Amino acid sequence: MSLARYVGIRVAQAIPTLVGAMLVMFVLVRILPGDPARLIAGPEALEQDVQRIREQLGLNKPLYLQFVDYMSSILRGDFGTSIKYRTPVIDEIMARLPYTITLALAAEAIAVAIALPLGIYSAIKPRSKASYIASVLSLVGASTPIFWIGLIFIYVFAVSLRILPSSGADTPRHIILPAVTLALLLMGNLTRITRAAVMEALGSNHVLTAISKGLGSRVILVRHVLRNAMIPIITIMGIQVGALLGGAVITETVFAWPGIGSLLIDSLFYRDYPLAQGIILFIVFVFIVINIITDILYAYIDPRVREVLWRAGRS
Amino acid sequence: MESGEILRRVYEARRRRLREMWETLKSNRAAYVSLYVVGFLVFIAIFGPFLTPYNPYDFDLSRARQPPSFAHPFGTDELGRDILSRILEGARYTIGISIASVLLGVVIGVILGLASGYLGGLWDTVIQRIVDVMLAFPTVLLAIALVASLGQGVASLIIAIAISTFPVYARLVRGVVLQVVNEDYIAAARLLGKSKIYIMFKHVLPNSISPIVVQATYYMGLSILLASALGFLGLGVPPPTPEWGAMIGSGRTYLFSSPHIVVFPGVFIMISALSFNLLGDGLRDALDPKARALLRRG
Repeated sequence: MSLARYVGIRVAQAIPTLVGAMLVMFVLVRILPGDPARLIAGPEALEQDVQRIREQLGLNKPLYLQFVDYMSSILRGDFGTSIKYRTPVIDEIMARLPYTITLALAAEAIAVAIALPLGIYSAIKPRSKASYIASVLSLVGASTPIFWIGLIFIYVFAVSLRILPSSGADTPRHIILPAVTLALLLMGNLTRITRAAVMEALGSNHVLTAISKGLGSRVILVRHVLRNAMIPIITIMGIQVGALLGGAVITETVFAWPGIGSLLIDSLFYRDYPLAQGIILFIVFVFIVINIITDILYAYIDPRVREVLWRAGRS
Repeated sequence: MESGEILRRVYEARRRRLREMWETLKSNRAAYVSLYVVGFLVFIAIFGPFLTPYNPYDFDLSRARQPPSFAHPFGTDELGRDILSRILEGARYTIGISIASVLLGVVIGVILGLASGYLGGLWDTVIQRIVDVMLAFPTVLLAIALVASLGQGVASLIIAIAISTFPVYARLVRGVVLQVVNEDYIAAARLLGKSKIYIMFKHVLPNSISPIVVQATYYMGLSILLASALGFLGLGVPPPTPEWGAMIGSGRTYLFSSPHIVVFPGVFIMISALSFNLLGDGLRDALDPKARALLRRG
């Protein structure tokens, strides 16, 4: 099967999930207390104005039609209008998105830069100090409330030592603390998986063959061990995007980083539900797309997986 | 052999297995200590309000933001409330909400997982699509969306966390079901004319208990972090409830001058999550016979 076809199948598989995600958001917004039309009109609005807005929004139609309308407008990139800013939700998201992307990439880069070498080294030398650090790190990563560790970082580096800014995004230095905080969330698991994957690859038959052929250890490590270990590592990185995006919401709030995560929390306090649900759906879309990319990357690295995935996809 | 004798042997084998599990758990020092820490946390979650040296809600601005002292071991918060008392009182929120949400999540997940794996067909397809959709949401984000929609409060927090986490159990149980469904004893039960529901709960479910217990223990750690994160964001239980995350959320304004308001509740959150994670590691080794065999060999 060609890669292009696999991509096509994988994208098609995501469609029910996408529709489902939209349905979940639609239902959640329906459960919300209060009349959305009145919310938009404001507390002093006349009943006839509220009624007019209700008709404009299509709130007088049957529910299933409302859902179809809702889906079709989202697919056209129309996430509705923000109550607070009175601008299209998608514009607000796009204005703040670069900050979130920068933060997420910086965090991922830090996590990878520490977790991969540490994981590989501790797999090669399981009884070393690095191995011990790796297991502590993975435990701490899974047990630390990141909003708290972020505040502790602010206190240590911004208040006590005065070497880094505490919040905002004015200079490049502002990204250091939030990126490290968010990286902590990813690092532990990434180290653990890397370590396990490299250990497994080290024990496999073809590595044994490579050793018996007398290949140099560097060649074996790069060409045979790491190449095989990359598959679980990429998988976990794909899965971790969920934690990364969720963690970004918390981290951005702690450091007043002006991305879509802090915008989401602000919008909830302002009861700006169109904006809030727009941001959540947007993040879910991104998550789904990244998962597709991960799967494709996976198939690209390991042609065997492509076949397996393809069969699994059809059954 | 008469039936009394058989029963006696069955019980003895069961006892031996439990003793072996206990020995394995005990041999993992970190997990064993964590067991006591978890016991202690549950204790303060139940009896915390009777142990508080001060009233956790009484505010007195004249003694606001005092650093830790002999009278107030963890200091006082921005309204002069004793932080130790608030942590003891708050344990029932943070820990209690986590326990309740894990239980609820397990119940939903187990029922859906059993139905999906054992009934198969349309049930399986529908349930798996639901699980797919739930897993398409980052956990924190789904929980945020749910609490925002259900409104603030303990009940909605429990429901939100349970719904955000049940898909994992559903997947897990389905996997186990598919593994055991072709075993002889299931066929035997079917031949005896037992109903599907009976077989599901009497024969299939017991096989899933070990992985569920391990997963649920890990998820206790996750739920504590999730509940406190929502509290921190101001989406959890409303003030003045001393939920640990909410304490950090309201204390962060005074971080620059009085960091102790933020530090102590965070330490408790971290210790709680850490001990559940360590206990999960220990239980995984104790309940998984394969890992156990390895351990004994090593």
